[in-house]
Amino acid sequence: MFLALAAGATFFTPAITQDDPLQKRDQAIRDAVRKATEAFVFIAGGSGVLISPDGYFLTNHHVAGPFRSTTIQRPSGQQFVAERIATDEVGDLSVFKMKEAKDLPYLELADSDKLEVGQLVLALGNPFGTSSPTSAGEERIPTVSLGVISTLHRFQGTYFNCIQTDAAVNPGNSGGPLVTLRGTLAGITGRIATRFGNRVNSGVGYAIPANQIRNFLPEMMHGGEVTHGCIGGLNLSREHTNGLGVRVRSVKPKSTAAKAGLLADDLITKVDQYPIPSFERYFSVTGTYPRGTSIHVTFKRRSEEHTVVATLDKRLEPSFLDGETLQVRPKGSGWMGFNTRDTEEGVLIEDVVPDGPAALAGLEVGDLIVKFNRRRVDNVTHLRQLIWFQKPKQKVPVFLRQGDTEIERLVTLGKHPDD
Amino acid sequence: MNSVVQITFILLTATFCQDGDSNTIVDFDRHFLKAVARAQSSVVSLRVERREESVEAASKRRKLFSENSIFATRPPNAPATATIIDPNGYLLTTYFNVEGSLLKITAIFPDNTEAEAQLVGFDGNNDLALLKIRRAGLPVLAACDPGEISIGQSVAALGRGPDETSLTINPGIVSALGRMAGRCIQTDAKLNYGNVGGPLIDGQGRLVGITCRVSTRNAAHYGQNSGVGFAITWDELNQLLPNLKEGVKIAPNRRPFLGIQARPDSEADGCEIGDVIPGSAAQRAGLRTGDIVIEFAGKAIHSFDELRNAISKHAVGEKIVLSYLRDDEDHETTVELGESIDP
Repeated sequence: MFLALAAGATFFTPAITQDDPLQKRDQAIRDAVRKATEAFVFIAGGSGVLISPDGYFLTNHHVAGPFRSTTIQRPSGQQFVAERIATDEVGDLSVFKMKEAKDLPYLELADSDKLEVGQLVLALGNPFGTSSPTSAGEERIPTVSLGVISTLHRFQGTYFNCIQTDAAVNPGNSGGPLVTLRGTLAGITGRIATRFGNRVNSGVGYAIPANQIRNFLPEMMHGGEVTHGCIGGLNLSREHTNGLGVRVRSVKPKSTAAKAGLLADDLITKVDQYPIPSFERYFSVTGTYPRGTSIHVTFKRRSEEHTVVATLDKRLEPSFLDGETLQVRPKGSGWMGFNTRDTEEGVLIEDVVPDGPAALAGLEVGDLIVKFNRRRVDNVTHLRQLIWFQKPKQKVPVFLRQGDTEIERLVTLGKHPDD
Repeated sequence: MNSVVQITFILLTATFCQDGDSNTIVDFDRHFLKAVARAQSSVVSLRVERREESVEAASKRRKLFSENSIFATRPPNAPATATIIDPNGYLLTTYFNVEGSLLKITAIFPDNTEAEAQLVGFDGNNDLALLKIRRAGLPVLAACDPGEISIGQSVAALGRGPDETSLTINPGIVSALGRMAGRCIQTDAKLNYGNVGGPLIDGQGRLVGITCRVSTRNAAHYGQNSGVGFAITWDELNQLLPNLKEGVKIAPNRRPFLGIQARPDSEADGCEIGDVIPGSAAQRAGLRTGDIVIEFAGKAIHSFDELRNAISKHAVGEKIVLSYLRDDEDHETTVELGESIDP
């Protein structure tokens, strides 16, 4: 019986011809995999990808941004010391350079504006630490997963204009490449959408697109401080315009917006070549530029179209009690136990951790947070700051919109799981 | 008689169109479906009847594995999948599929006939179980050449269930080779409680491996079908089969797990952390890349091997005080040891 099985193992079905479509598709995938694997970098429990032959590589800020220097490994087993060149905390992108590196294989950035929904892409990474090194000098294989571009230009808060994919992306994939079948870099995977705090892929992964990376690279490669841009003094309306644009509510005197010639009631329809149908899309596009970039803003005023140029200011952090803003969560701060995201209607609760402070207080997925501790909440970043100023055990009133009703709930903040 | 086949990979095929010729897509589909048709007669459904596990036992297990409080601790009450691997009535499935206090196992064939199955042997560390039914002349899959398997190639996981006779197809690619200490290939084909124990086939309908390692323990670590799935290769299986046929019964080891990978070639006097596994006990305790572990449960640590030995002397769930250096400063933290699910 066993012999029959062993014999069976040698009766391969006859080789198929080169024309067979399955072979062709497989070959294209395997070629892209090989190219991407050569440029892959293992760093700090996550992933990275080389973008130059002399050792510049990208990863996420949340993977390695805090490290001034660290040791990285290539799939060949080769190790390098890598130094941080620049990091963009808001955009979640870090640039590092390997020391004493030359002639390394790397990936070219794709034109992410030319990507198509439905196009096949590959994600490479180290999900759940599956690629463990056995010993120095030994191969280390990154994991490859295949999917499509599910959609483009997703506005996920600080993932301003991201690519959404169903290629499997999990913890450990962060910082890794999203690659087209041509072997070009479409984006850097760094976020996934999950439910109930379950940090495991659900078919929705997000990647920072190549064109945003391109916008920031020049400044980052020089080791400059990186900040995202915005048009200072421009107050926009959340009013729904049916895709016609975003309306200016007011313009602060002497600000960049004023100097560019924008006025209240102008309807902004385009930024550079990108149509702007809504409030969200405006922030989605402008979030991909660093401060100092000059952008063209096209708008309608009394049914006449105009275009002006504005040089972007530093993106404003929400102002606060003492005008102080926190970049990093302070240790010992209070914890709500939910995930939120920016939407047209306001800050929406996306996930609620079971048995966490928010859950116990009766907050639910789908609720809109209108006020936190009696302060009106502008956006997720603002809310996060408000939460970070609280301590565990503090009781905070939260004013919500649940469907059509508005209610207030008292949340007793907990301790952050990382503390 | 052919069973109903579910087409689940249209999304993938719809994008592969080299010159806008829709025949390419149709050909691809047809080709793939032929492969599936060739393989599906070796895929059977299993109805496993067990004594109910107590709520206390289930919640005790959950505490040890989970960083998330919501994943299922008990397998769903639904049919599982097995693969015919010997014409004389041997079926292979996963250990998880037949674990627990068994009352009866029934195999259901694509033609809707049934046969009672006996559990012959199992290997909990490899997540395999061998069953025997009283039938002969059964169809067996041809195996692919292990040397031919390459990263990026198309594969599909076949399963039966949840309604016992229809076939489910979950396509994907080979994500990596040599996982689980060289025993398994990794795939992003979606694996879940319903289809593990079934075959992972290639584009010619040949056996690449048997899907495994989806269990309540694994789900706590990888999630149920996060896109990180494993299949034991035919090679490995062949080596384990003789023992399984002899009736070997190996329950899974419960090894404590910290969740760090040491930095190779480190010269530090201690265990220098290269990577911290996301979601592990180490991450929950606040350890990071670059930290150097110097003491574990009161024992001085000078190398990764010393740390590994020290960990092995403790139990899953134990709370251990650990000292480490970060930027030349001494720190202390408490880790609650998790459970290893790797061999």
